[in-house]
Order: sequence, then structure tokens, then C-alpha cells
Amino acid sequence: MAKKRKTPPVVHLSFSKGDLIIKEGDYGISIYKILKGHVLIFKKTADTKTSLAELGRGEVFGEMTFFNFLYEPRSASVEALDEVELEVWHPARLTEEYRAMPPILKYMSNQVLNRLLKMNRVVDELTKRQRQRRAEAEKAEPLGKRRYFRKKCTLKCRYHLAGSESRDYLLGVIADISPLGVGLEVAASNRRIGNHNPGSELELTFQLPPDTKITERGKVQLVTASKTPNHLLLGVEFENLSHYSKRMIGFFMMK
Amino acid sequence: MPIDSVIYGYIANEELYQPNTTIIEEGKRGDWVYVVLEGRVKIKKATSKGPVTLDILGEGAIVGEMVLLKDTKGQRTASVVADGVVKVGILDRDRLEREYESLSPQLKGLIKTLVFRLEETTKRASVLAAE
Repeated sequence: MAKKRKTPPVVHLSFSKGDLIIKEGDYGISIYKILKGHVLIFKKTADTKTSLAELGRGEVFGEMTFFNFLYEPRSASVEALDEVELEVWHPARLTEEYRAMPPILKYMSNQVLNRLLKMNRVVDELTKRQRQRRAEAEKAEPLGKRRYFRKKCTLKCRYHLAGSESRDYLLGVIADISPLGVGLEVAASNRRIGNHNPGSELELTFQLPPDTKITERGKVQLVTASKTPNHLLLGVEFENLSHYSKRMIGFFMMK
Repeated sequence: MPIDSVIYGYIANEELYQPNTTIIEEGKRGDWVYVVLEGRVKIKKATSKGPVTLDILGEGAIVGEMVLLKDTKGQRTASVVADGVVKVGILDRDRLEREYESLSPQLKGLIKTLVFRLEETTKRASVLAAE
């Protein structure tokens, strides 16, 4: 009998979506193993919530308090993401084994614990900073203007440089498109024919599937190295895009 | 816990590293476990924007232990680089392994959970730090 009381039986618990399983700052000793469903581990302050990890079936949480010898409160909260079933362990028996294990292993796992606590704080801190940066960027330049949607594509394109004397067309590939402009990938060697600098003007001719031919003028805004070796990626902004082209690009983007 | 008493009898060898030399390289296979005896080391992780230093550890820090505790012959998850001249001790891997093996599956399971979570969190921290 006495022995039984020492090692409480394993308990099963179930939770529904949104239920709080562990609350940061509380004192608790149980260790949980997920039998079914998913949980989110997160840290929360007055107005922010930083997720640290998402766990699923077979994974264990609540173990950090155990390694802290139960002296410290829970360092993060855990909530159910769907229907969750848990196996709850009482750590009594494991605590005895943990105390008796070779000091070097205890030292090592304790170090891993402290690094994890530190990294959790780092993630929390960096996430807060990221949020702040985004909020500031948003204020400086409203969303609509800055991050418009571009459709990724691979469209063959012929183009002619405005200032160039050569009447020959150069070849490129449109890598993304929107009614504001295109990302144009060209061979770096095209530079020999004429300027490919920010400010350079060009006339683009390309075909939108199935058979819409578009010819429009644009200005290079940005020149970067493309992921394809020996190629440049030109950020080209349309100038005076015709109503027809705008509609056709709009249709193409919806496909 | 004083470090000397903990590692007593485990140090198989000692090595000296010059400033900025790599002790453990991320992505490589290896299963040595080291303890920093003198000096400091930087923990670095490769990101899309180059290596990011995530932590600086001093005397008494054990590094390279994650492969041992995970119980798999895996790759190194981060680099360890000497920050100045560093003296490290190489721990007796066989003895550590034997002792770790003798633990119950439950306790080992808990330690592995801790290590996996550290690995995941470190990855996330390095991605965030590179932004």
C-alpha cells in the first residue's frame, strides 16, 4: 500500500481547443505526454504573445520544472490547439533517479535546461523587436504602397533600351509581374549592348498566355544579382501603362 | 556544483585552440564532448545572412553534449569557435555513454526532449537574429 501511494498512477486528461493546460508563473510538477492532438507553447505579456513551439503526438512538455528540481515556476504557458488527450506523469519516481544519477550528467542536463531558458528568452525578445520594427515600417509607409502583390511567372520577353543605337531586341525573362512593374531577369552580358542602370528606360514586349501581346515602356528602378549565375534581376516600373495592358495583367494575375 | 569535482576522472585529453579557430563545426559529424577549462567560446549558427553568434560560454561550460544526449549519431547543430585562446578538455566519451545508457528510458526521454527543444529554439533564434 505504502509503495502505491509513493508512485501515483498515470492520469489521462483531455482538453478542447483554446484550453489553457499550463499557465506561465504557476507552480506545477506534472509532466505531460501528448497522446492525441496538438499544443502551443507560448510566452505572454500584457499585449504580446510569442509562440515558442508547437508539439504533437508523442511529444512531452512540462519537463523543465522537473529539471529545475521543482523550485521554479512554469516558464511558459501551454494551450490546446485542437482536441487534446494527455498522459500526466507525476515525477516522484523520476526525481529519485535524477538525484542519484552521475553528477556530470546532472550538470550537463542542467546546462541544457539553462541554455533552453536563455534561448526562449532570446526568441521572445527578438520576436518583440521584429514586431516593433514591422509596426514602425508600417507607420513610415502604409502597407498598400510598399508590399503590393506580385505574381511569380516565367515569361519570355524582348526589350529595347531607349538610349541604345542598336535596333536589335535583347532577350530576358519576366520573373514576376504586377500592374506596377515587372522583375526582369537578363543575362549580365546584355550590359555590353547598353546601360542597365537604375534610371535606364526600356521598351518591353511580351506575351501573356494564351495570346495577349503587350508592349509597354518602363524604367529600371533596381538592379541586383539574380539567383541564376551571370544574370541580373532588374526591377522595372511601368510608365503610363495603357488601360488595356493593366486589365490584361490584372486578369493574368488572377489566374 | 564546482566543475572540477564534476568532471574529475572524465578528462581524457586536453587541447589548446588559437583565437577564432573552430572547435566544433556545424553540420559535420562528430561525437566528442568538450569542457571549457580556460577562456571563452562562441556558439555560432549559420543563417541566410552569414553566421550569427548566439551565445558566449566560459569556463565550466560543456559543449558538444547534444549529440551524446540525443543518443543518435547525428550532425553538430551549431559551431563552437574559440574567443581568444581556449583550453578545452575532451571528455571520456565511452564512460559518459555507458552512464547515460544506464538511465531509465523515461528519464532519458525527458533529457532528450530538453535537447530537442533546445535545438529547435536555437534554430528559431538564429532565424530571427538574421532578419
